[in-house]
Order: sequence, then C-alpha cells, then structure tokens
Amino acid sequence: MPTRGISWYLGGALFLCASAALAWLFYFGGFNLLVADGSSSLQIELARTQSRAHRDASVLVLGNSTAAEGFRANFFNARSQDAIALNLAIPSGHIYLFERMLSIAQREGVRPRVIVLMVTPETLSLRSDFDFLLNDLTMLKTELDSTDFARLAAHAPDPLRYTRYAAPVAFRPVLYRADLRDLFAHPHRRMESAERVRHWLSDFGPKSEMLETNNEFSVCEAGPLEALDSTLRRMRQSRDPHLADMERVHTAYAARSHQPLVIDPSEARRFEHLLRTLAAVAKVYLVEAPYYDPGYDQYPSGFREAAHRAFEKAVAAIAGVNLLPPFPVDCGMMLDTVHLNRKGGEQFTEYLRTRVL
Amino acid sequence: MSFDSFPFAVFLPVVWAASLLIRPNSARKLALLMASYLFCAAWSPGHALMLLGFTLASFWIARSVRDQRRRALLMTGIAGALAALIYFKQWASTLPIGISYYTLQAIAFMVESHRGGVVRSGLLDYSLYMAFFPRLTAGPIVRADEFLPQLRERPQVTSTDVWEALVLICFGLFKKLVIADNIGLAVNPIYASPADAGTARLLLAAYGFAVQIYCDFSGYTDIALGATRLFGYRLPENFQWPYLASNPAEFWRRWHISLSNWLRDYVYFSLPGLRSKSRVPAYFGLVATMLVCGLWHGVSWTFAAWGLYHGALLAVYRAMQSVRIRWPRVISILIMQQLAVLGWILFRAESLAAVTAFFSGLAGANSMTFGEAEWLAIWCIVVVAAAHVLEPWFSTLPTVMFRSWDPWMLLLLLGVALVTVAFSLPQQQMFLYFKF
Repeated sequence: MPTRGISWYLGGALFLCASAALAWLFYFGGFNLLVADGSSSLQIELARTQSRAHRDASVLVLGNSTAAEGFRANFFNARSQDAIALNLAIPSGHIYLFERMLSIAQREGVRPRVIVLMVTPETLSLRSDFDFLLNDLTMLKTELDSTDFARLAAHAPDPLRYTRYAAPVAFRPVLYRADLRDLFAHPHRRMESAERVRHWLSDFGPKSEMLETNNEFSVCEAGPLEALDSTLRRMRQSRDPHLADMERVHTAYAARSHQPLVIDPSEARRFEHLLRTLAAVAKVYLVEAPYYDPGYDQYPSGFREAAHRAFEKAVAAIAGVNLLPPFPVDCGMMLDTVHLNRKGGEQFTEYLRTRVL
Repeated sequence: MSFDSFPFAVFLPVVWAASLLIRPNSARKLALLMASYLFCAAWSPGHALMLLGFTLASFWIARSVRDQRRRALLMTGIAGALAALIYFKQWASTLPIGISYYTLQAIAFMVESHRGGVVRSGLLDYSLYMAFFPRLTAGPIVRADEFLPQLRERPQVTSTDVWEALVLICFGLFKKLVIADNIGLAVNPIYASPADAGTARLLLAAYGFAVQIYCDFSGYTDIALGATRLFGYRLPENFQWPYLASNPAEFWRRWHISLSNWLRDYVYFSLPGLRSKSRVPAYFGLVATMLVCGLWHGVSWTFAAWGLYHGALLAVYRAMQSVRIRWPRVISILIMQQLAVLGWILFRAESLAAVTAFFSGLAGANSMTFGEAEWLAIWCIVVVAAAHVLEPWFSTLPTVMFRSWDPWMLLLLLGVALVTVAFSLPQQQMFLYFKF
C-alpha cells in the first residue's frame, strides 16, 4: 500500500472541513446568514424575527397571502387593550407551512390563546402546476429538522409520496437550489443583499411595528372581466401608475381560471390534521378569505360552495374550532379579486377583533 | 422512477444494501430480479407484465431453436418481437419502458442461441439479464455473453467498485442535470418554432442540441454503468468521446456503441450481397442499416431522414476511402463535428417542414440578443467543448489522481455535486433516450 504523503492528509483535512461547512450551512442554520432579497426563506426568517420580538402575542394569525394582506396587526394592536396579535401569514403558504409556523412561533416563546386561520378554497385542492407541499418545504428549508420526518408522515401517508417529500428534507441542498444558483451566479450581489437583510432583521425589536403593506388600490377600477384586457392595453399605452396593480388582478384570475380544482380527500384529511394540531394549543377561529368575484368565475362551478361545506364539516368534527361567518366586501375594499387593500384590511381586522376577543 | 428522482436515490442504496447482505448467489440474483421488476412496475405494472412476457417468450424460443434448429420458429420470434416494438412505437398511447432496448437484446439472444454461440443459462439468469434495472430504461444493449458469465458466481464488490460507481454517478448526474437540462431549456423553444428564431438562436439550437443529447444520453449511461458497478457487474461503454471522431465510421464506433454494434451484427451483416466484389451492395447496406437505426428511434420522417443522412455519410466515406486526402486530424474532427450537428437538426426537428424552416432561418441574416437561459446554455456548450479539447490531456494525467477514495477527488466530487444541485432545474426533465 503506498504511503500517504502530506498532500493526502491536506486533501483529507480540506474535505472534512468542506463537508462540515456544508453540513452547518444546510442542516444547522448556517444558511440563515445568506438569506437575501428574493430568497423564498426570507418570509420565514422575518416571521421568526417578529415572533421573537413579540413573544407576548396572544393572537396568532396564520394563512397565505390573503391573510398576509388582509389582517392588519398594527391596526388590531392599536385598538386592543390586552391582546397583541402577530401575523405569521406567508404568501403561497399551505397546510404544512401553517402547522410549522405555529411551531416556529412557539419555539420563539409565543404562547397564543387564539389562533386565526384564514383559508381559501384552494386549501383543500391540489393543483396541476404547483406542488404546495414541496413549496412549503422549500420555504421552510432553514427551519427543517428531524421532527419533520415524523410530521410528513401525516401529510404524505403512502410510501411513494412520503419518499418524494422526505427525500428533499434528507438531501436538503436540493431545497436550496434557487439560492445556490443565485449565489454561484451573482456571489457579490448575493453577499451584499444578505448583509442588508441581516441588518434589517436585527433592527426588529419589541417596539417595532409589524411589517405590512399599505396598498390603497381598489379593484373597482378593473371593471368587468371582458374589458380587463383592453383596460390593460390602455394603461400600458398611457403608462398608468396603477398598471402593476391591474396586471396583478389579471394574473390572479389567470392563475386560477384553468385549474382542475376539486376537493381532494387527502388534502381534506391533512387540513383536519392541521386543525387538530392548532386546537391542541389554543382556541381556533377559521375564516374564509373574503373575495370579490364580479362574474370572473375564477373557480369551477360549485367549487367554492363545496369547499365551504368541507370547512364546515371539518370544524364540526373538532372541538375548540369555530368557523366565522363570511365577511362581506365590496370592490372598494379589495386589491384584486382575493386580496384586501388597506381599507378593506382594517375593516376585516376590526371584524375579527370583535369576534375573537 | 427516473435515475435523477428522489425515489431512485432511496431505491438504489436500499437494493444495494440488500445485495450486500444476501450471501447465496441465487438468492441475491432473485432479489435483484425482484427489485428490477419493482423498478419497472413503478413506471407502470403493465410495463412489468410486458417485460415478463417478452422474457419468457424469448427464453423459450431461444431454447427451442438452439444449435441451428427450427429456423422458422426463430423467424417467428424475431418477427413477433419486431411487430410488438413497431406497434408500441407507432400506435400505442404509451411506450413500455425499455422495450426498444430489451427487444434488441431478446432478438440477439435468440439469434445467437440458434447459431450455437450463446452462453447457456437458466431462466433466472436470463430474466435478470433482460430486466436488470440499471440498464432497463435506456440501455446499454448488452450481449448475453457479456453479462451472463458475470452472473455465474457471486461477485466481490470492492471499495474500488464503489468508488468508481460514485464517480460515474456523480458525473453522470452533472452531465444530465446541469449541462443537458439547461441547454434544453434554451433549445426546446427554438426547435418548437424555428421560423420565429433568428440566426444566432438557430445556431445555438443546432450546436446546443448536439451537446444536450450527448450529455443527456452519456450521463444516463454513466449512471447506469455506475449503478451496475455497485453490484459487482460491468456493462459495456456506450460512448467514447464521439465528437472527437474524424470520419462517419469512427463516429459510429464512438456513439451509442451498443446500438451500432447490434445493427452491424444483426442487420448489416444479415443483408445479402456484402460478399460480392461490387461495393454497391455494401453502400446500400449501410444506408439501409442506418435507416433502420433512424426508425428504431421513432417512426417518423425526420428520424428516417436522419438515418438516411448518416447512411449516406457512411457510404460516401466508404467510397472515398481509396482517395487519400492528407490533412491534419483536427480538420477531419472539425468537419465531422459539423456533419454530426447537421444530422442532429434532422433528428430533433419536429417535422420536415420545421427542418426547412430551420435551414431557411440559418441562411437568413436575422439575429437576436440572448437571454439568461441562452447564455447559460452557451456556457454549458463551452464547458463540453473545452472538455473535448482537453481530452488528450486527461489520458496523460497521473493515475494517482484517480486513486480510489483520494481526498482531492472527494473534494472535486463534493464540488461537482454542489454545482449539480445549484444548476439543476426545478422541474424534472425526462432523459431523452427514455422516449425511444
């Protein structure tokens, strides 16, 4: 056997150091230092930071972008004497992420007495062009740990599906694909952005206000669907300042209009599992996200009603969970067909405040 | 269950671990056979049944026609196999996974059995030879006498085998997920509507696809060879730097070697008139053989045109061999590369009309700027081109660099794995040769 020289030992040491560095980066939170603008994990890091800054929060709001835009935590807290609300809604989040956001908040010391879960009909559906669970895992990549292998068993009960989702949790660099690509392609830009984000997050403290948007745009200006395309053309020609908002209305419609949305039994079971998990911690209020549907008919016929019945059925089966009545809206309260603007958000928040406290 | 999927990343180590633990050779082979059928059934249970039917039928026929007996039965068996293959390629809604490959293996086995040249084996060994999962989906097309003797004794899997497997799988995934898939991202839209692309994009598509198909297929083969090595077996090489070929004949000795050998032995050499003094039958034989090659890929005009094109190249090269043209080998290589790229346009185009649009666009003077996906594709092409330029240097590298488990090589593999993860596409792209 040939004797091993210094080069061999040097190579071995470098390999071990590189392996340890990668393990720290992907499995032990090292990548938190490299979270930058545009990273799918930034929202999670922000939520974790806000949880740490508001450990005294007693009302926790979970959901996707409809809750992120629709619930105004600062407005709520200014009008509540003895309750502080914390909005941990994450855009594009789904069932698995809602469950994990609760555990993230609890780990940071938050002990909610009330949990408000805002849902849309798509909570109970699969989509042909989007894997909700994989998206959740990708966003949660900096938070995943060994407990997720057990959690995933409730969310992907058959072996093939379980393998499909547990494997990226095990081979975690795969979930960092987009971030790695950005880092390799634009290392300097990435490092600068990560440093800005670190400074920004470190500025959050107990006195900090919750981060919220303040979009005043009203979807009343969108008009009927048939005219939307011509409206957009006119706005592009005149360089209307609200063009981006109007395009968002069109995009939101287009994303849903051709989906094979049906109530999926496995998604319904996952949803019930989520409700039980939340109800074990606090009183749960389930609220369906307000919507404005002026004949856009963005969901298949009867899908919204079927989802409502499924929510009712799930709530009836679990103690400690209440389904709030729908919140009526008009176009002046909506940013697009599914998101509330600032005005609508404040009214909706007041509606919730009077019912959950 | 594709090689670049998570289920396979779990399946392979589990099967490998089981194969290490099972000591009796027969039990080990049975376990591998069951794993192979599970692998096939993961695509579709019907595909597994098809494979089983093929295996049993071809085994029985091979036994019955052994040593020059029952030629009519042999012909029936070959005709039946080809009929099934043509039916599934032309009319069925889905192509059973691997049928294009194991059909050829079955035909070769029956023919060699009839000739008296094949190694005798039992049903278990033959079934494993037909179904062995690392090579089931897209080859290499293995000869029975290359693989069956390896099954006689339980192989000793050494650390060197594991190391070589790791290197092959790592680089295979890099070729597929980084090079081939990223080039495909840029090239596929251009081939979808060549009339809308400018000259620069068409050139990118032409050269890009040549690199894409090489890296996709050779990447798959590397993974297949590596996975096989884990079990102590060896499969034949399928690629030998084909874009370093200096003439059409050499190209086909370097590209998809197992298929070109099969076509040579069971199509070309079966054609009449090859022993005559006239060279014309040989020329027709080359064209006919390559036409079969094209149609094996798919029953369409573009695949037929591609086959005829390469047949013509081979025939012209054969005819010109008496004409000695002395120029540097690098010139010959460059010429052959351009000829190969032209052929790939025929292969990849979606129709003959698209081929026409492609060449019309190339002849035009339109040009457009490149986007990010296209620049990444260009970089991938440059990387592969550089590897080809440096190929002679690779062979002069000291072997100490490739010692098993050398830490510097481990570092290199770690870097390659990280780059592979970073630059792989979010949506899984099927291996190109799974479609054939």
